[in-house]
Amino acid sequence: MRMNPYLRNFILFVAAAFAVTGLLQSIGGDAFAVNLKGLLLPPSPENGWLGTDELGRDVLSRLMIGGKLSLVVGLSVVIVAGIFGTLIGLISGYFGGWVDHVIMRITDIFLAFPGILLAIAFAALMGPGVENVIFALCLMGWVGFARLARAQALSLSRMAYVEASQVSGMGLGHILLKHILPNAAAPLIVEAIFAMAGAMIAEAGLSFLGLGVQPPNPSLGAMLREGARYMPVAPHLVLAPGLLLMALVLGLNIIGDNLRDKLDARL
Amino acid sequence: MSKFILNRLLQFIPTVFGVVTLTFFFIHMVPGDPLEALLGEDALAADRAALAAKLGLDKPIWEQFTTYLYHLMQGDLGTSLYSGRPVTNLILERLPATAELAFAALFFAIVLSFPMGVFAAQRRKQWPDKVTMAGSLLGFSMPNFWLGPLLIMFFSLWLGWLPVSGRDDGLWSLILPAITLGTGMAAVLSRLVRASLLEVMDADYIRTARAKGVNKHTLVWHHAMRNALLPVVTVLFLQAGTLLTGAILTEAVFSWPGLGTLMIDALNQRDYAVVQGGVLFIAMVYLTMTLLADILYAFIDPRIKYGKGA
Repeated sequence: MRMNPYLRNFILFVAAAFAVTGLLQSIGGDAFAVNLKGLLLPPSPENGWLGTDELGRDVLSRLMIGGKLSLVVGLSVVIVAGIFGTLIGLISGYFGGWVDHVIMRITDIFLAFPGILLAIAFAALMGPGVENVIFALCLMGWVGFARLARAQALSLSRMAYVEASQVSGMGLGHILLKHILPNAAAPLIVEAIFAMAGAMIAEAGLSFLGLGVQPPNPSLGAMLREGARYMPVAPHLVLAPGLLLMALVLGLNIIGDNLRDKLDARL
Repeated sequence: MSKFILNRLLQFIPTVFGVVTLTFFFIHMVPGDPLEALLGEDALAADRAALAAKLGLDKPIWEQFTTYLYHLMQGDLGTSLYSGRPVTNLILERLPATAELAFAALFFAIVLSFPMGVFAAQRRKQWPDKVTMAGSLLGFSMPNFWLGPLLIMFFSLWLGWLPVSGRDDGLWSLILPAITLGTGMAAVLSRLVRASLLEVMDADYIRTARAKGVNKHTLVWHHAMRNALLPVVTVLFLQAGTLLTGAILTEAVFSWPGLGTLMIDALNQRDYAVVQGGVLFIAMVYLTMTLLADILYAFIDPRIKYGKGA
């Protein structure tokens, strides 16, 4: 199957990010071994390149585990929320009428919670843990896909080729997935890329508030929070996780931005 | 116009009801036993019963819901499980600090983004445009819970110019939190100002003005800006609600004594009543802002009135 050119850069970036974090983790030391003789060591080749944290654990390998976790969460959220939201949106836009009305009022309710408010509330109630974070972020993320897919389906369902397939008696699933979805794909992929970046920041934000992955497992947000306490003596504990998170998010945003410019050639 | 506003208001009501319902069921969606979460596994049966009665959890769920609605209509968001004080009072006490932070962030974002957006739009596809837009992308990708510590490290710990945290030094303590919270918004706004201005600059009336020899400054700030501002104003309103959520993380970084730290403390104390109240409050502020943005948009852009209340 021919790869959608919009998807290619995205997949390449994510694969490269996984490869680099995996590789760097393998040259780092033990991420969990506590070494009270080597606390808060500054970055240097002898100190495992990025130094050690407040328990003497190797920062480089903890950072890379956290980075991978962030990627996994971002990707899971985009896949789950993307598929669910897109299907809901296609159905809403294709059928129109009261189905559309009901679905859109439901999305209104979810949109009333700005930013990561809903995720904070749900992560807090369901307790910490990666699965709960992913669920909380999906709960927040599906709406964007649903709105976008709906708008696309609404205009595409009036196209002659869709009417032709309706008249020739094709099934609903076939029309939605084979005729409407491929033509609605480009903006949805752009949305997915920005949504992944957003989910990664949100995951780190939840962990920063203590609602995400629990110690001793590393995550970028939790490392930032813990590191901030030792900022005067060990600034690398704050610099490193933030830089990695920003690099990953920036990479995704640049790819998404370029694709969006291609979609909307006016600007 | 009035039909549009009426439509929009009618749409507002079910959304508000939905938001209230969803927030109410938050506490009932906790997996397992909320009493166990509050009291621990080894709680005595009598303690459990007493707490259940206090929270009204011993009543059927619909009765709990109608009671909740009844109290809500009187502005009663419940009672804090931790301090025993009314949640509404707790929120109102913390609101000024958060409002101060949000307005300061808004001010910072506007002051930074408008010149950036105009500057970029005037030099479309040249290097100043590219640099400005790259800067905006960077600001957009910068999590505020990282930017905050960076600013503290630089301006407070190394240079010693500004306080590390808290709200005791008046304007001085406001600067870093406002920059932290406002940067993401400045990034969004500068792109919007640029895009909006570029679109308007293509319009016929601008070409006419240019042909008549209007100078560049007047052209941009008087002729084009008026129309370019329409979408920007709407987004400003929407962002104001988002600022409240962003404030939660920013307040956590700076120990800013606002709504955000209230909610974070409540999360740590498992004080679900306060979390629930805070979430509902922010959602309501945001919904109201959205409504105002739509109505304002209808006022400043008369073309809207023909649209259905979408």
